[in-house]
Amino acid sequence: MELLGQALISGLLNGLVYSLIALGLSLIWGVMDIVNFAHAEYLMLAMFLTYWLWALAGLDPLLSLPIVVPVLFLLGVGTYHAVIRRIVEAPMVSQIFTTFGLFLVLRYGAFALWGTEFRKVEDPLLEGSLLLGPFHVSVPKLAAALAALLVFLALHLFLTRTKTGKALQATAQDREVALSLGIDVQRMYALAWGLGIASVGVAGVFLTTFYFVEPQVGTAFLLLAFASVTLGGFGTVLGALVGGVSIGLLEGVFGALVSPTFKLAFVFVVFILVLLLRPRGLLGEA
Amino acid sequence: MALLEVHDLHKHFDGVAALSGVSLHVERGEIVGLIGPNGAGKTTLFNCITGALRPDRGSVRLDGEAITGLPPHRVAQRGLARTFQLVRPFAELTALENVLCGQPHARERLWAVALRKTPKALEERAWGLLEFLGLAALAHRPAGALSYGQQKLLALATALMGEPKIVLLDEPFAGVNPTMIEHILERLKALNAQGVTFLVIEHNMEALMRLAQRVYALAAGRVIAEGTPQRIQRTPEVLEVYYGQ
Amino acid sequence: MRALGGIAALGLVGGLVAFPWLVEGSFPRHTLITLLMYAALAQAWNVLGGYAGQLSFGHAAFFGIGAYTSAVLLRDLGLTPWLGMWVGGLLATGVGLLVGYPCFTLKRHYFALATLALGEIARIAFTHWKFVGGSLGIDLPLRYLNQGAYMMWTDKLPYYYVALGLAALATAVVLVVDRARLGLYLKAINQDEEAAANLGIDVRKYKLVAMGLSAFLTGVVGAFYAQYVLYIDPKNTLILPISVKIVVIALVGGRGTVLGPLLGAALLVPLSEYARTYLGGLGRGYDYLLYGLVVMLLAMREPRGLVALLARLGERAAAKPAPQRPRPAVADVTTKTTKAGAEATPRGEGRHGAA
Repeated sequence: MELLGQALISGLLNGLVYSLIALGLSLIWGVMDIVNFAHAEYLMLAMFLTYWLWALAGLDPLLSLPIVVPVLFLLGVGTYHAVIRRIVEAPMVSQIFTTFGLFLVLRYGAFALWGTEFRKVEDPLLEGSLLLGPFHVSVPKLAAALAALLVFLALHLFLTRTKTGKALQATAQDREVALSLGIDVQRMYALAWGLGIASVGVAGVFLTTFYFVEPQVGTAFLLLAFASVTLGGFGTVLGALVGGVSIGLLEGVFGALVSPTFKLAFVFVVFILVLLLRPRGLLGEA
Repeated sequence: MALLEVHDLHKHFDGVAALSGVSLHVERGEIVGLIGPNGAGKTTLFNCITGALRPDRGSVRLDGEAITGLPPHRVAQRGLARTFQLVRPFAELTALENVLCGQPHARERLWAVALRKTPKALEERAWGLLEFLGLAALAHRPAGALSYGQQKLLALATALMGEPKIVLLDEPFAGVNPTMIEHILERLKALNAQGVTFLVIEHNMEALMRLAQRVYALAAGRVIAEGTPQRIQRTPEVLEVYYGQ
Repeated sequence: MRALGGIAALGLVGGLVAFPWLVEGSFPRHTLITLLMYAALAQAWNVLGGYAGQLSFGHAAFFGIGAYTSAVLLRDLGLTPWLGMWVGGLLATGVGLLVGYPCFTLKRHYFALATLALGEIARIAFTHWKFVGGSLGIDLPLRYLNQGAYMMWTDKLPYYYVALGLAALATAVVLVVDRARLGLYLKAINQDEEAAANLGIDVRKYKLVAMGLSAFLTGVVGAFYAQYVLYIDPKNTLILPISVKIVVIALVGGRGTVLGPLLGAALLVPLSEYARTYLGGLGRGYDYLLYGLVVMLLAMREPRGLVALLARLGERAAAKPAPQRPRPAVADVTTKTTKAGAEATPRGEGRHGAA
């Protein structure tokens, strides 16, 4: 029982981080119907940036947040203008190839620059664990989970309370209508990329406090984010949250009770099952 | 027994009724028109008949057999072909290859499909259809390079290639110049004389008058009138919907 | 023209058969074996990714499954790889169909994703699976060395001919598919699934057939690879770079054509083999960085690859005394076929009436 409780707690915390990674994927997909295969590579870049700020300038991950997140935002906008803008109208096959190529460029670019070495930030401000009754709660994971919730709240407020946010939602719902309302759709696309990549940047910063930094770190997170988004329903903000938490819990429970090494394989099986049984996800309309 | 029998079809989108109890029938050898203002549910009806959408309630029978809720390829294999309002040929395939894609698929064997070309007889049929519709000279051009009107004819040839019992045409005359309209009209009549049955959505009343033997008028997801083209144009309900009188 | 093509093909086959006798040294032979192996793999991918348009980024999984299956059958049961390779192919097919089935009614992203994930999952699973040696992998039992009946030699020459046979087999499969109705239906599905289904084409069935053929051939080649290197582990059979290389070769050469994957392999494999030997720096992944750029550029500029490029050059050369109007460049008609394509077509009827 204690084992299960522990698994649920860590599953919940992990799940919120997955949600945060899934958020950007879902946002970009929702707004412009493009699946970004390179999404988790931006997570990797954020982690490296955080790491180098710590290693070279002695900046704690928590303090590097105001640098990393804006840089990632610009990176997202830049990616849109340099690459994605050219394939918005292209056939789906070209779109898939393009973001897959981007994935290769970013991953193997990092590989070429920094090698395969595993790096880790030592003694971050966020460290250790709290004792909550019989359960251990990791402080850095708790912080990451809280940050994820804050980002979701901020994004929700942005989308529902501001004019720009509403315009973004309108674009997501129907591009033609958005155009007829005088919304600058190109700008909205760039914004979606900026916000999507910035939010994955937040996840990257917090992950650095309890995870190794290496060029291939993205793979598992890409899969988890996709599973989350698929489970929750592609293209909705709430779907990313629900999907991410569900995946985290499933993974945690399976890892604790059955097999920790095969938990990623289990997540994949869940992903396939969701596609088979409910391809629109938990929250997608029937 | 009618060839196509649609009974009490209902379809809702997000609580908005697109079809609320549509019933109609098409007899063997008929050309039946379907008119109605935008949003009346004409294309939704087609989609429910062809299996692109699953109706909430009601039934569709083709030649006495229920085809309600079957996936599109099964419906097509049962002998119901359709064309789209905006033509969508396989742009990178040649005109001939497009038509060959429409060959009857119901009795195909997997090994034959995987190993063999289209049988000679069917290929000759495809050539015959291209010739009949005046496209033979363009047979080896990629379909994407044809004009819009030619693509409409190509879609018709492709639909006919499967030897369907009935063809559903979604606005065959839209976006086509008057000469081409005459050409299509005349070909459709010739086909009908050979026994092909059609159900046609069309806004061009003048063309439809000359084509259809019977017309259904649809508005707000319901059949509001039925009759000969001449009569339907004088029906008060139709006049009201179209002209607000 | 046809006769000329026949003579060229004959010359090519003759040259390939005679090649190892003309060239000394193990390095060129190794390069050629690798080339033929990747040509076979890219052809296998081509059936699915080229003709059917279902992009797989996880073909290493099928490659690895084939390699491991035949290796385990040889290790535990003493089954000759000449038979084991087909079992490996079948097992790869089974996995491929399991992954394809749920994805093939959805948008293509899901399949691309599922295969990317499958590749990684297979790598992780095999790395932790004791039965197949975990991260240490499997050493093939060397007691069969130099027994042709067990496909195991010290000399490279026999491997060369097996690789040639596999490349020929895969190319023959693609050739048959291309000529048969299956190729036509797959191309139609690739361009507009919904329209294909409306004509009565069973879209999912044919995608699964393409998947089955593709995974099968890939698995068979994987089994050959195990015999060739005599040692397999997750790092030489199941990593993403293998999947990437297969995709890039097919893409550069020209997906959806018979010649494309051959051309791609002939160009890229020697390049990367020589770079690996003479430049070293491969551990740093520069070549994959380059591949990534190539994939992006081709996807944006010439999605049809070298074959289309050469065809266009050929057409330009032949265009002068052309009896017919030259076909428009293929790239012009590759815009979105569903909505945008129809809208981009001029609405009004143009100059040509319908005869």
